[in-house]
Amino acid sequence: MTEIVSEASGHSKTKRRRRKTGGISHIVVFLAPAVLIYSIFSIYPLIESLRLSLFDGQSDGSSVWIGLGNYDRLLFDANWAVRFWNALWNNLILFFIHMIVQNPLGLLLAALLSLAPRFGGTYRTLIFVPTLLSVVIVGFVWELILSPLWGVAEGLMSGVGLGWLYAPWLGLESSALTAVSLISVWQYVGIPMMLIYAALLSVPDELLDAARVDGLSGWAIFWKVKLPLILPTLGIVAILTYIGNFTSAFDLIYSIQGVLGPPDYSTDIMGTLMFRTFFGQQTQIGDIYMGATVASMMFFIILIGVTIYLVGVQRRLTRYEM
Amino acid sequence: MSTVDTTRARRGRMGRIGTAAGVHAVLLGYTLIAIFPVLIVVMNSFKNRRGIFTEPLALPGPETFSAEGYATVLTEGNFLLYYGNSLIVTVVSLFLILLLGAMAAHALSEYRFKLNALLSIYMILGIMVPIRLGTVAILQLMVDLNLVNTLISLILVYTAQGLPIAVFILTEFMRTLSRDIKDCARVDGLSEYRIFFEVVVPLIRPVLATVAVFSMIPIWNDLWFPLILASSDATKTVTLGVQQFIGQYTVNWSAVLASLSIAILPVLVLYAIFSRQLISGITAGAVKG
Amino acid sequence: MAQLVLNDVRKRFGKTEVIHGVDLEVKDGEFVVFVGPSGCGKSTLLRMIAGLEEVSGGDVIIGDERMNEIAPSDRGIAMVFQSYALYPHKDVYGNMAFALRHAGEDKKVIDERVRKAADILGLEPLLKRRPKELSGGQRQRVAIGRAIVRDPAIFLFDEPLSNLDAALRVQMRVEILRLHQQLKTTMVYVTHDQVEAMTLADRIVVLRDGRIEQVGTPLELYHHPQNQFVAGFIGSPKMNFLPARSEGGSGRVTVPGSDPIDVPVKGSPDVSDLTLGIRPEHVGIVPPDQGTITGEVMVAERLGGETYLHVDLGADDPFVVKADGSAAQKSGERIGLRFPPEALHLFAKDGAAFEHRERHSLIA
Repeated sequence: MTEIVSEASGHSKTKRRRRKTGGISHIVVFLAPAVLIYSIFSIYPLIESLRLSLFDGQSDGSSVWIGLGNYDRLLFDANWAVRFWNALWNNLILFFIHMIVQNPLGLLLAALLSLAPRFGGTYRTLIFVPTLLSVVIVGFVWELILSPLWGVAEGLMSGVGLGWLYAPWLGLESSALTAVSLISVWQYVGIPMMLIYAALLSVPDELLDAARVDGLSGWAIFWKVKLPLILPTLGIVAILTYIGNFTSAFDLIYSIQGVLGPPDYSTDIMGTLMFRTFFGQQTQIGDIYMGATVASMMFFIILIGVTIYLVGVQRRLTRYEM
Repeated sequence: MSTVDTTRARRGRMGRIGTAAGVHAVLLGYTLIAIFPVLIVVMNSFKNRRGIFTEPLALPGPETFSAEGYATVLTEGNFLLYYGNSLIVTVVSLFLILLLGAMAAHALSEYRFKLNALLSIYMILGIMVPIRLGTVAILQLMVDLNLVNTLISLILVYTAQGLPIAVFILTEFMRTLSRDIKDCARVDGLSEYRIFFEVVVPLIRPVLATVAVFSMIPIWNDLWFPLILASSDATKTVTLGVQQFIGQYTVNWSAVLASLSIAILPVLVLYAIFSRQLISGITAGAVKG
Repeated sequence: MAQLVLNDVRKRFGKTEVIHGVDLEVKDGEFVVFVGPSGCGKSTLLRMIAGLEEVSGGDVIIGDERMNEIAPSDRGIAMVFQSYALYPHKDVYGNMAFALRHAGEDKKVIDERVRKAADILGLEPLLKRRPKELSGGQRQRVAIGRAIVRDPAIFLFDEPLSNLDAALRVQMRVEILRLHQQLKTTMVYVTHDQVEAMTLADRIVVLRDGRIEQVGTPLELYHHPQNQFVAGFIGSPKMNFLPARSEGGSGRVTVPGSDPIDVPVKGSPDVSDLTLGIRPEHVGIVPPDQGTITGEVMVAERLGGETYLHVDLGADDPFVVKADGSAAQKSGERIGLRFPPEALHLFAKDGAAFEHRERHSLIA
């Protein structure tokens, strides 16, 4: 003990080098790599896309500032506008179908799982499996199943007397988008289910006991106690669904239907439109400036959705301490 | 009095049994819907062409069993190479996401400095804004850096893509870590770097595993960036390889089904191993978020 | 010799100052306790002494060296934390040896010191266990053992007992006291529990809102609080306060409904808004007609060994009187109260206490 006392007084023979406190070099070292990679490969490209959307290419390969000219073309030029509004409309339908099918289904499954039935863990694990699969796989699996060539779907439906209902849904203009949407629901319902399930679990047992003592039935407890408490989670699920429709939906449509959104653009969405515009397809030459414009439009559309959520929805959803 | 009680009790019990049956009916029904397509693909991948078409719903029997699809896949497709590519891209990206993400999260949760709040928001922005919207510029950047058709381009993009959510989850978790233990290490004379690697990293190991599983799935399954940045035969990932293989072999159904099964398998195996981790991670994240 | 000197120490977070210039000297071997309500800055102050919190102004001097910019590990201190802060991935031995191993100390020396500390705290049977296999009390003992191994000039304790249950807390308190007697090292201890402060401290530092309210031995604070805050903070149950008005100065006051009361203080305040304080254990119970003041018993809390009578004197807060465990008073009963003059405290409007004419015999 005495050694260290004396060392503290500065008289130690073996006085060690005194390290100083403070300094920020370690903070920089910890942050710099992540911030750099993220800035260069995520934020910079996004800003660059926004910038490119304000330019147009010249025949000599240089670019020229045209202000909002590209947006003007995209929104009002007959050839572009028809594709743009069609794709946006299809995206909104896609979102709508997810909101009325995927999320209620996720809520139902989560609510049932939260009753802690036997084998609940097994159900939960298996229902989540499709979420893990690549859309390439999901796309082809369903294409095969729904294909009139193989006839699995038709065979199954005939087995329960619904054979007359069968149609090659993916190939029909009237049903292709709905069919694709439902495949996407099938694949991703595990995510809202898990999020809602987790939120339901976080509702304290005492609260439910109190409701039971107050004489509420199981259904009433769910509607009047649990649901209000998990509203913030439902809000998050909604905004995630919205963002997902502009990103992951591309993969599915690309792998099932290809980049043209067939039949007759009925499954064309913003993602496929952007891909096609950027890289070109068959008769169309790729145009990075218009591609950037489509991407920027997607960015603004997502931004509008997120803003509506943050300002309009999230504020009104009271988050309760649990 | 007592008869009333027993009636009520019986009605209650019957009600419970009825409810339980309903619950299981719905859950079991949907579980079948969820795994039926996977089962049917894997099942039929072990059949010959006749078996696939005549009785798609039957298990492979002695007359219909065949592994010819797998033979085709293994000889015609370059799947071992694609697997290798996917593995390299996924593992290296994950390593970078976890290491750099944890370092950044540590800085953001541990130290007070001027730009802290701003940087936190900046890093988390990427959760809301999909990285794909920058594809145009990413491709140009990769061309400029001479990285097109390299695995490095994918690794860089996936790292940038995975960082925001990793930083978010890890920061939230690290804020709950006891400050005392880090202070104690400081009193013990550890440098800030050693505190991170020797004290913090062991404490966050379970969350790192969760983030790993989370980030891995979209990387392994991605089609967009392999298609755009690295579609050469030498750099194809499994997902892209399967997609193109199917495109070429549309008529050879057993080969198509076999390639699908081959692509499904590793994900399912990983899921079986990590499912508990994944679910607890989602639970933790959801409670916070 | 002063082991630790704080010289006008200040702490600012951004623009808000949370420690407003603290001056303090701690003597070698002294056990000093910082006490105060939560948010008073006591932990911040301790962390500044440890070097875990930057010092915004003033000097922190340990030994005779200014330590403001020195790293915690080089200040000759060891710290015991509230949440124990044991490394979960190391066993007890590893935890205790960690700092010395890191400092590159000789293996034999480490082993010797760890075993000695383990011996002092009775930890030998646990050396191979992981923290999660230990009880709360054992973990705290390991945390203390780890501090002992470092052989520091000053031990710093940051609310080390507040995670323990009541019974264990009493036991660990005695153990820390014994440890101090055995090691005779300077200790600075932070707690919000005034009982812990009273039982452990050579000197108590009462803090409020980043300022020192009073420094003194436990009995000094108990018998001669310098202000109403300290008077109310030290002692349990807390001191009763009654609004009082002066009757012609020289310490004669009345409270509503009372006869004149003489408080033996120096000086002669002659104002109306004074506060009279008396501790529950100093109030005498007499028949109603003999009391300085009378009131009705509202509640009698019977703890067995003693009884707390909550008496309605017409003020907002009930007046608490400590009586015998076998006290016969029941709720609804009127009783008279007598205030022994030497136990009375008188406070001015700003809370400052008027000094007694005589010091308490135990303090002198």
